Amino acid sequence: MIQNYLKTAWRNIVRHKGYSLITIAGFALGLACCLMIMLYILDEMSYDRFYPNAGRTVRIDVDASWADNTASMATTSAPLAALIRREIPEVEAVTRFRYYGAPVLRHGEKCFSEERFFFADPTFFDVFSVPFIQGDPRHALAQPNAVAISLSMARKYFGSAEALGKVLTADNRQDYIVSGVFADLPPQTHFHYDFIAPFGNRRDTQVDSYATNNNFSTYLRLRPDITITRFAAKLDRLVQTFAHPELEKLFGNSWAKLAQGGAYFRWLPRRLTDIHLRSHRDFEIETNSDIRYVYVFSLIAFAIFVLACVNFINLTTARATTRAREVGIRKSIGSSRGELVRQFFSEILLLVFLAVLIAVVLAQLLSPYLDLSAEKGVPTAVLANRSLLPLLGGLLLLSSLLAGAYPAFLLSSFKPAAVLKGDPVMSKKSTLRGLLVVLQFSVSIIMIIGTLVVSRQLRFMQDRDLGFGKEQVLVIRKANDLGKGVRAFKQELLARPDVVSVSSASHLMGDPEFGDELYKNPDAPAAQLMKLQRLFCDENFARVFQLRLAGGRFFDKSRPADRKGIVINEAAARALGMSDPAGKQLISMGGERIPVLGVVKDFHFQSLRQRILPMAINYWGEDAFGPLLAVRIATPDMRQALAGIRRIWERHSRGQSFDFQFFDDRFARVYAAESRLSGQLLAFSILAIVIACLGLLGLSIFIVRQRTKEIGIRKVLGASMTRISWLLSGEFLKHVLLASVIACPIAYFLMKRWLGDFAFRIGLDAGPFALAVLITLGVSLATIGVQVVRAARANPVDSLRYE
Amino acid sequence: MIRLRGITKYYANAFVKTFVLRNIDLDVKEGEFLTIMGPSGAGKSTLLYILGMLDEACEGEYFFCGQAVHELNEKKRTQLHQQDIGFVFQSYHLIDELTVYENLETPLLYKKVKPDERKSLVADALDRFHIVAKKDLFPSQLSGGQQQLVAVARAVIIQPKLILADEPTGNLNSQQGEEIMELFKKLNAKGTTIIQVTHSERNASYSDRVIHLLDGWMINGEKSALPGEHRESGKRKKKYPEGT
Repeated sequence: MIQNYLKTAWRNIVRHKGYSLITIAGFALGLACCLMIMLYILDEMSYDRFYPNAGRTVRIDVDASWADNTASMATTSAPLAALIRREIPEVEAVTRFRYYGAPVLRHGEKCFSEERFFFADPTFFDVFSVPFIQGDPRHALAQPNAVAISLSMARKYFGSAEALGKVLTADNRQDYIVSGVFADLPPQTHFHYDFIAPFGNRRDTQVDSYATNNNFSTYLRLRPDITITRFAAKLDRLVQTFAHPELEKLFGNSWAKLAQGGAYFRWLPRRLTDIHLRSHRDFEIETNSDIRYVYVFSLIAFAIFVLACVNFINLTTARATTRAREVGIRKSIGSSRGELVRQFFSEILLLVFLAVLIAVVLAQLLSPYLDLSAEKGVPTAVLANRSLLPLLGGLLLLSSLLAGAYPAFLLSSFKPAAVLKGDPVMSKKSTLRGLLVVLQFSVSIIMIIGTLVVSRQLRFMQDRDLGFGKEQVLVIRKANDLGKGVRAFKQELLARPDVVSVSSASHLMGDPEFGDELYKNPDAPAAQLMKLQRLFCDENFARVFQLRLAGGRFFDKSRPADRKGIVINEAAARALGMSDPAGKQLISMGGERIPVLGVVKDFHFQSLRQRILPMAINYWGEDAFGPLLAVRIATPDMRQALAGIRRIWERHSRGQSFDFQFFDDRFARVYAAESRLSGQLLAFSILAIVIACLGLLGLSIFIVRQRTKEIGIRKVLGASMTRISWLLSGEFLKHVLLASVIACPIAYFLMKRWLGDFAFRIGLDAGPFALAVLITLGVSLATIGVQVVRAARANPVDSLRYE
Repeated sequence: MIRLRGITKYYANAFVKTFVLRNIDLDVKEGEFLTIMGPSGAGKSTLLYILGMLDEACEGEYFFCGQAVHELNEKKRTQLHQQDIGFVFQSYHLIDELTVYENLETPLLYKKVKPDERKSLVADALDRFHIVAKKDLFPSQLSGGQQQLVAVARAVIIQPKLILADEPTGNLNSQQGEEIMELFKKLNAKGTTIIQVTHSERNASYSDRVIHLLDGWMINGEKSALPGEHRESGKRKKKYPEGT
């Protein structure tokens, strides 16, 4: 029997090629999209789960607030780890690590700058239990000059030779002996490390303050018999005993009083597996993703899936007219309704199966363009994914049920007596089908509006005057590798006619994080410590970035005293309550008096998402060397300037590679998330409207066919072609307009919320809404146009002959 | 074999009841060849569909081989129909996507006949109707006469007690029509009961008995006894929900 069904089904598919193509292609496109999104979501959810005890591994975070300052950090103070080990027996293992910058490692001829070099407690591999290929994880960090490295690093430096016992020289100063080789980490982790070296006797690890100097990442593994809530309670008690007294001393007030003023200080456990999607603190090791993206994409996947199913249902039921006769015949030769339901189900299963196959291929082809995993730098290999088969099975089942049930039951319900006599089986206007079309277009319109608003906001952020000059600035990274030689290097650069100015700096605008420092204004009535973002630079910084002064002056290398002073921005002046700060003094947390030399006008040193935070610019002095060297260039021939600068670098660098980027490229990463979102939304909106239009196309073919007789009669009665075209188009356009009425308020609400995240944002005017509706109208008119015109031009004699 | 009592069929909406069949009483004996005649819209086809259990009467009783059809549920009715009734239509109604062989096979599949038996039954039928050479062709590759031949073969293949034919020669030329009628005659001679609907006196002449329908009324033999009124009633409206 099933053979008979599938035979009929297959021949039906082949016979109505156009229809089958529209149905299957539309569905496959939707499924492909869902598939890609679901693989992306599964990937996001799988972060850090490869660690054997991931479920019991926890990071300690710090939340603190006083006065108008708040801090939420992914790092803790140095002694907390030992304290926890001592006070909480349910903790199996604790470890700390810290990043001190990227050293330049050398082994023979091979020399690279390494970003993923961390220092850690010897217990590191007890908490982060990665498999070791050489060496023993328990003793790998026992010696002070040991380093454990990843397999790919071992290959990079030592090729196929044994890595154990080999020497790596860091920054030409310090030798490390390779003590272990561990397996490479998968991309799905919030913390990638290639080198782990023991702290040894570093002084910062011995600092004995529990509440300040939160510089260390502290991770631990709990015993299975303690819940995270109970562990959190124990941490709270430690805060009261050890952190509060210290803070009372620091602020000179009792903790009860401070707490009354809204101050708090907390140590919070955070599950390892939650970090990637839910943690957005200061001093995260890497930029994490966001659970909201997972939600948004799930929603989009679901919407597209529904769209695709709706299309499928629409097209299948529209075609019921042509299948009705077959239903009649089959019933007349003895088929029961159940047989027919089974027949149509197997037919739909076949269609869905074909669609799923095509979807897999499409997903594989499209995934590089959808760019869902841009951050990871690895294109999602759809076919290689382990979750693919169960996912496909699920999709197949779910979509056959969703898309198949209604058509199967509808088709099998036809009364043979009626269909065999040629009575129309379905009314011309199906409310359900109309509703489904409206739903499809609503989704498309919402997505188009989203695309337009996001891209406008992006353009707004990119075009806005940021308060500093970002063009024609070259950034040389790792300039501190030159050591003291940086001064000569700078001077030689300045000698070039196309170099305007050169400045060393610790951070640059657009960096994800700056350090911070606490200051108070002694003249303010209730002097409180305020947190100021901190940046170190030399005297040329203002010139290189064309900062504008609001008062006072910038640093001057002829005045050695300037090294003690700072320049603040207007936001800092406001926060500290200073009306004319130039020449006044601030008091640092250590009690020192710090002269304020000048005030720069506010500039956007972070994303426009954020308001401009208070900032203190510190002076390094002329000889200082920071990791970053910014060079302002004025030349029409950038390439030549670059080549010249490279030559100078090579003369000074003793073989160190020239690591440069243009400042505006570097700054663009500030908006990487938004521009990725914009690209993805664009892709998905195109997809949504293509699916909707495929559905519309199929539907219009059938509706036009159904109304052939009516059109014939109207023409005989003297209706013009234009009039008939309008009559037919009007039917569809009504649906699009209704969809706009539904979509616009929803889109308005969603976009309002999205824009709410930006401190600096565009207004939400009617433009994108009108444009989205127009685009949808235009595209749908174009889709049905051919059908409509053909129907309107048809010779009425042909259409009426058969009546 | 068949006994109809007071069969009435109408389509109703809120305001009008449109009668198709009115109070039909009819008995058909096993082995009979009956012709139903009447002008367009007289209700002939509807009566045939009700007899074939593809349609239901609104009122009245229908006994088929002693079973009260009007009391059976859909499943039972399908079974009865599957066993005992073959249909032949004016426009053949073969399944376009299936070959001649597969078309003949389909009713056997629904009847759940075993594969071996099925094969031999289909082979027999192909043989008997001289269409062996055509078995792999699709309906669209056949002439009208050939298609109707296949349709008759399909109706006969389940060895039904009753064959219902709705204007079986309506789309055929006279020679093809005659062949089909001869075929019916032969089947009837072997004991199959046949009920046909036709306009043609010539086709009617093949049958043992003729009944006439007009505007839903049955006029036994005589055409003169015209009950007046109801000129509008024969017109079938488009689809209305059934019942009331």
